[in-house]
Parts: sequence; C-alpha cells; structure tokens
Amino acid sequence: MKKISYNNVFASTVTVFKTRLYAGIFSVLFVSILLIYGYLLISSATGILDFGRYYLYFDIVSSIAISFLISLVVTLNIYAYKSKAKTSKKLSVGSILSAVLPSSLCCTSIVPSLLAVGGLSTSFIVGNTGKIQSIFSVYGPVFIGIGAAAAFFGLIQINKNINSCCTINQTAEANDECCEDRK
Amino acid sequence: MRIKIKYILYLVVAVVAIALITNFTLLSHANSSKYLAVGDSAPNYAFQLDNGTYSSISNYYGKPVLLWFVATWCSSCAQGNEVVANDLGFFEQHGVKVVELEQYDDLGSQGMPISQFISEYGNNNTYVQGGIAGYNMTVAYNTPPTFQLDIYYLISPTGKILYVGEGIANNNTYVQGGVAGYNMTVAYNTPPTFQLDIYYLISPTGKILYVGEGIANGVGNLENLILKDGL
Repeated sequence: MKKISYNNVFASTVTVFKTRLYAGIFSVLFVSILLIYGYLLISSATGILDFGRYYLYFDIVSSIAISFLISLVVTLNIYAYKSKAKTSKKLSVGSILSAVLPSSLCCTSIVPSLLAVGGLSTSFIVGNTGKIQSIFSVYGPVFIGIGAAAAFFGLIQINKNINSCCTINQTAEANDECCEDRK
Repeated sequence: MRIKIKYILYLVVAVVAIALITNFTLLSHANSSKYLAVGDSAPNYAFQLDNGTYSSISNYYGKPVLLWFVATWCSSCAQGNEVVANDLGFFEQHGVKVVELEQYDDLGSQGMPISQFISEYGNNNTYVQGGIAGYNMTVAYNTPPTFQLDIYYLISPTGKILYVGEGIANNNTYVQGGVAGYNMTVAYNTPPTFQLDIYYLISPTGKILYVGEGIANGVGNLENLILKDGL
C-alpha cells in the first residue's frame, strides 16, 4: 500500500473538482453559504468592537473565507460518502457552528430566553445574561477564526481520507475516478 | 442509509419539540409580563447621567426624546452609535433629544463607560446624552425575560410612547419616519387637544376641502363632497 504524499494532500480536491457535478455542488453551496454568513456577520456588526469602522471589511473577508472553506469541505464530504471513503463530519459541523455563534448568541434574546426557560428569575437574568453574551460579542472574531481553522483542518482530513481510499483500492479493481487517475 | 434517515428524523422532531416548548413557555412569560406599548405613558424613572447627576424622563417634557437602552459590550449597539451619529443632523433639526442609557450593571458584564462608548463609536459627538439606568428602569423598559440589548423608544413631549423598536442600526429609517410623523401630527392636529381620529379631504391641487373628526360618522359627508365636487 503506497504512503500518502503530504505534498499532494490537496490533490484529491483538484481531482474531484474536475467533475462538473462536484464543481456545481460547490458553486451552489458557496453562493448560498456566502449570502447567509454575509448577512449574519454584517447585520450583527461582528468585529466592530475590535476593528471599529473597519469591521465591514473583516465581515466581508470572513464571510468569503468561511463560505469557501465550508463549501469545499461539504463538497468533498459528499464525494467521500459516494466513494465510500471516511467523511469528516465533526470538523465540518464544528466549523459551521463556531462561525454562527457570535451573530446568534450575542445581542439577541436567545440567551435570556433560554435562561428563562430554565426557570431562572428576572433578577438573575438581568445580572448574568451579559456574562454569556459578551463572550460572543467581544470574542466574535476569535469564533470566526476557530470556524475557519476547523474547516481548514476538516479539508486536510477529508483529503487524506479520500487519498487513503484510493490508495487502499489500488490493490483491487476500483471505479473511483481518483483511483483511475492514479493508475 | 435507512438508519441515517431515522436519526435525521429524530433530530428534526427533537428540534421542533424544543422550539414549540420554548415558544409556549415564552408566551406564558410574555402574557404575565407588562409590556410597554405605543400610547402608554413612559415610566418616569430616575437615571444617572454620565456626569454623575440624576435626571428623569419628566425633565425632558416639552421635547420629543429618543430613549435608547444599550449594553456597552454589544456589537450591534456600537453599530447603532455609528448610525445615530451619522443622522444627528436630522434629530437636531427636529428637536429630538437622544438619551442613550446603559442597562443596569451592563447586564452583568461591565463594558466600557457609556460616555466612552458613545464617543468611540459615535464619532465623538456630544449631542447624545449618556447615562445609566437602574434595575427597575431596565426591567420596566425591557421585556423580561427576553431582554433586548438594543431597544429604543420615541417619546412625545408629553411623555407618551410614540414608537418602540429593536436594533436601531437596522431600523433607523423607522425612527426617522416616527419623527416626521410627530411634526406632521402637530401640524395636522390641534395642540394641545389632540384628536385620535381626525381627517382631511385634500384636493388634487393640495387644498384642504374638508376637516372632520370621527370618520365613521363622517363618511356620508365625505361622499357628498366628493360627488358634488366631482373628485
């Protein structure tokens, strides 16, 4: 069984995107996710406490980066699932959630509502809702960074999984497109 | 594949159930809470200004007031400061005083002082008056238990609530609409004895043809006028 070359860790990505189906899936995902994250980050002014009036640039760049990485990871996960390679769901979900936390848990009534549902009193909520929400407001860019990092590591993981699949299947007949390219 | 669909269905059911329970519980809380609505009198609590002195809503009687509650660690509130600062000319022109109050104890997480918050994100303006709301005022003007971080009230010169909104940065056009309404209200209504149901028939050239009160009883007169003048 051949060892995976780390120089070619993204070779699977290139190969997968040569197929129109996966290029199409990526395109649709990228545009959809970009619109969602763009709206969430800009409408909640994520990063304004750190970057002042330049927060808009941060939000635009972050939206593009996060959307690109998540779309890439999801597309490759779909390919991996179809080619029976191991998928990397945890990092993908982690990435999506981390990037959404600042705009959903800060500056909305979600946290105080959850505290109320938990049976906590008004005075407790008044005195403590800020302790939770402020984390997502003040450290919003950190959560975005964690989301991007998780998506990036998810990308590396899924590439390794797909490479391993092709490497394993090289010893037997295989119909996977990436395996045929390697013969 | 069949097992995965089953788990997905369980997840969907669980999410819907949680949403329904949360909604029901919140509605129960909501029905038992006193909400401030348009037309209510603005509760006259005292609040501390950023210069250390105390004031209250009654001190602003005679002018419209934009009373805005924030938390100084809140990013949308910071954004709101930028937006309001860009529109200060409009508020000044219409004689609207803007009072921005930090909610009690900054809702548990001390951000920067309110004066610094207004200055840093509001283009160093001195028009917006900063202050700190006490616990009772915070709870009275915010909706327990679903506290909003960025809630504002447009209050008339007589202390009545004209408009309530959330997220001033994204809704500033509504605030402008509210202020224009006040001036128009005063122009078209008879101060100080404001009518709730007053109507004007205006010609195509902008002339007032008829003024009436209580349109339900005046529709007949209007119809006659319209038919007579061929409008």
